[in-house]
Amino acid sequence: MNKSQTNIIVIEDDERFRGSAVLFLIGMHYETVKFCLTMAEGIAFLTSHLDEKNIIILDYQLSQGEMGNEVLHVIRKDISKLVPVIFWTANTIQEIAEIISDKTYAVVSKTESSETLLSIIKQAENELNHTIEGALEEWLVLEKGISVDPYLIKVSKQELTIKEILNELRLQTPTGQKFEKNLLMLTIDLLLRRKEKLND
Amino acid sequence: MIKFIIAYDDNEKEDLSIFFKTCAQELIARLNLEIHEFIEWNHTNKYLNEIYIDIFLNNIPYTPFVFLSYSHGSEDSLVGENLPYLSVRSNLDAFKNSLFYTFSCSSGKLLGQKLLEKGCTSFIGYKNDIFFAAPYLAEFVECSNSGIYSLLNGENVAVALRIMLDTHNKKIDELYQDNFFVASVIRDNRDSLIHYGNKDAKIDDFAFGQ
Repeated sequence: MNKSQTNIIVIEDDERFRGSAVLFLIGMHYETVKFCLTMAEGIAFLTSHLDEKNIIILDYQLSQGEMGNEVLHVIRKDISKLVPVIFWTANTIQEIAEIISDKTYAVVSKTESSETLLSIIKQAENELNHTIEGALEEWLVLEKGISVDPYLIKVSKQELTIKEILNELRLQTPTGQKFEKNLLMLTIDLLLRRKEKLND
Repeated sequence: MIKFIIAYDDNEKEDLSIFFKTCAQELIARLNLEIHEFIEWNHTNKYLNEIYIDIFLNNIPYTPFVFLSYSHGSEDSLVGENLPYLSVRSNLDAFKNSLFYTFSCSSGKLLGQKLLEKGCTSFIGYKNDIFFAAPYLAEFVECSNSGIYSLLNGENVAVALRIMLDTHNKKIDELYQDNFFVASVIRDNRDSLIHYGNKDAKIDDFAFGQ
């Protein structure tokens, strides 16, 4: 079986999960399953692998007083709003759902089967591969090797390198959202002018 | 004879100045300088500032002219070196019976309307933020100048606007399979184009001293 190249980043303070059946199952489907014991380790790995596809499995209660929703907040505020984050928790789903305010892909109880978690990961990966922002991010990552010079310049003065365009997109700033909307509008424009047609 | 005033920000500290300067210089090269008179306002000759332009506008005889600008902009002004050089507060009466085209962000919103109130014959500009993709200089210059070239060829403003839209569409179609991101930016610029005023006007309507 060909393994997916999407990185699965598991942030979990319980060392025993490193060799658990659930991670073994995930590892059968994904080339890289990175097990991180702390928030810092998880965020460092994500930051250094932003040019690849990532999905985060996040424990809600970490050690040293760290909480999963803090990790999520840091990711959403400083790194990316596009990376799917799945809470994996021993708490009840209701308890978690009431606390987290940033966008979460899913909340899965640790009492659920390994197959259930894997199925949700695959669903997240599928969506990651089929969103406008995902497609744009993937294309920009490929373009990034071309130049570090300003690539796109807003005539009201803001200059953006490809890396900065990626950041706008990942953090879903108004400019990043505008680029996504531009792609949708381009698609509609090409269809209306009959330059492209929808596949049956 | 037609008087052209061409304002462009050639401040070399900015990457965008290459674009502004190329637009202006390609256009100047197209003008028949034996027939037309032209004035440049730019960073190098230090005319691109509000004080100089105020003095100029307060002393220019009220004859028609064609004003073209390539610079930063905002809803109510054209901007050079972080400061407006022409705004709704300027003496816009000087633009009565004139033709105004600007490649600048958002100035179609307020400045364009104010110019029309002051008797400007025709305004072509952009109502939103617009973008320039540095690796595609020639494509963006062509989109920006195509309307003016068609006016110089004797077409009226309505046809010039149509040609601008067609040029944007041509560039979108040429680019989208290789670079859908830049094609999407050109489409966005295209849909930001706005016109106020007389669409039947032709370049000869702005002649003086015949």
